[in-house]
Amino acid sequence: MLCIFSIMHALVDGICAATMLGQLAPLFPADIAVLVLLYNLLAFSTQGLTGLLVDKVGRHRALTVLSAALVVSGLLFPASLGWHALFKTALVGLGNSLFHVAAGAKVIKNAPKKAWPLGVFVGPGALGLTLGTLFPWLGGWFAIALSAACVALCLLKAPEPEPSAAEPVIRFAEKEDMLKRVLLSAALLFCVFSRAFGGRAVSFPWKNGALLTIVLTLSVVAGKMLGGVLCDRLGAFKLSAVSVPAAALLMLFCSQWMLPSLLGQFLLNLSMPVTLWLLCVLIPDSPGFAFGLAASCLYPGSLFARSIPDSGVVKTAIIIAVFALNTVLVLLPAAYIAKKRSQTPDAAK
Amino acid sequence: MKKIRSLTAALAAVLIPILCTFPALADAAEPPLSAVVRSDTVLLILIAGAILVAVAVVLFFIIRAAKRKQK
Repeated sequence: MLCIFSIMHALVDGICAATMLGQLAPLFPADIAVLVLLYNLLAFSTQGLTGLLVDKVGRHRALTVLSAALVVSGLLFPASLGWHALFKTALVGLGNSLFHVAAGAKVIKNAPKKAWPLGVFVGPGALGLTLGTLFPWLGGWFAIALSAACVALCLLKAPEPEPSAAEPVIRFAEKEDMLKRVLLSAALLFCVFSRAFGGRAVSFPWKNGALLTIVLTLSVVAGKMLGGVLCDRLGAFKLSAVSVPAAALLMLFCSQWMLPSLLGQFLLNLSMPVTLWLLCVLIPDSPGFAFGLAASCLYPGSLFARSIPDSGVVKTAIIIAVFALNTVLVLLPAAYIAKKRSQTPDAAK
Repeated sequence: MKKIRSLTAALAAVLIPILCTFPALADAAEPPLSAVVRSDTVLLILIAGAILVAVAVVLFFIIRAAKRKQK
């Protein structure tokens, strides 16, 4: 099931990009930037609400198929009039939002103690987005593949996870460390914000063609996919302590060279499934909400990155400050959860 | 084994479309998003996003409290 969700993730993001940039951008060139802003608002900022809906309804597979239907409808809906463009944007934006939380919550629910499934699920999204952006004509093929994936998802008889595997990492008592958990969750949300900021704020002068754009995307995908595996092996604390500062140094001072930039993006994205998994551990009963909350912080981060000066000391100072804060703020929850897990040996298995 | 299988399948899913589109790489270019967006539009979108997230957080705590009362 994880494989199908991962493939669907790439396809959903690809269709959304193809709809916005392949269909709407040529028809409404003057308004496309506003439409993209609106799409991002619906796709990212609503994920907290759709996450709550998914946690309440609980039928993850059905909601995933519904979200895919919304996205495909958005692609197929005609775009001749202004309100059509708005409607298409709303369909793909809300479909994207629902897909991420429905599929993401199912992935977390099936294996809450492991971070690697999260990494495998979130990784391919970046590639789908890049392919949909560069080759919008692939949108139709993506829609056919997504429909096939939905059929496979409906037919698949996935075994229920063993009860011990589906247990939360830490079972918090009612109101246990409530304030601490709220503050640590806020710290993790800042880390998500700053990672989106860091990924956008640095420009890569060597990235001057489609092939190099795909190579950069592959380093992002590899980082996200391996981040979960390394988190399970090394622990969230060790991985974050090494990867975030190294990524900051490489991206700040070596962005004009290709290989160090690729390594920097890879290291930066290693922390992505880590923060997501830590947040899900802190909010164990509402995986959809935890997933959605994290996603809703990505968008302000990338908007903030566009609003700072293009170059100069101010930009460098802001990026250094954000990355330094990120390092500290990801280590605090990682240390807290490691300590809690060591106190409950059964949960640490 | 399960982990390796999932990783391989996901990587294959990622790489196959790239190989399929390889001949078109030379012609592809990132679509420009050069249309100017007024800064107050961006601010409005940001505020709308913040409101949506805040509503979700408040709802989360309300649902939590209601669940606790039911228990």
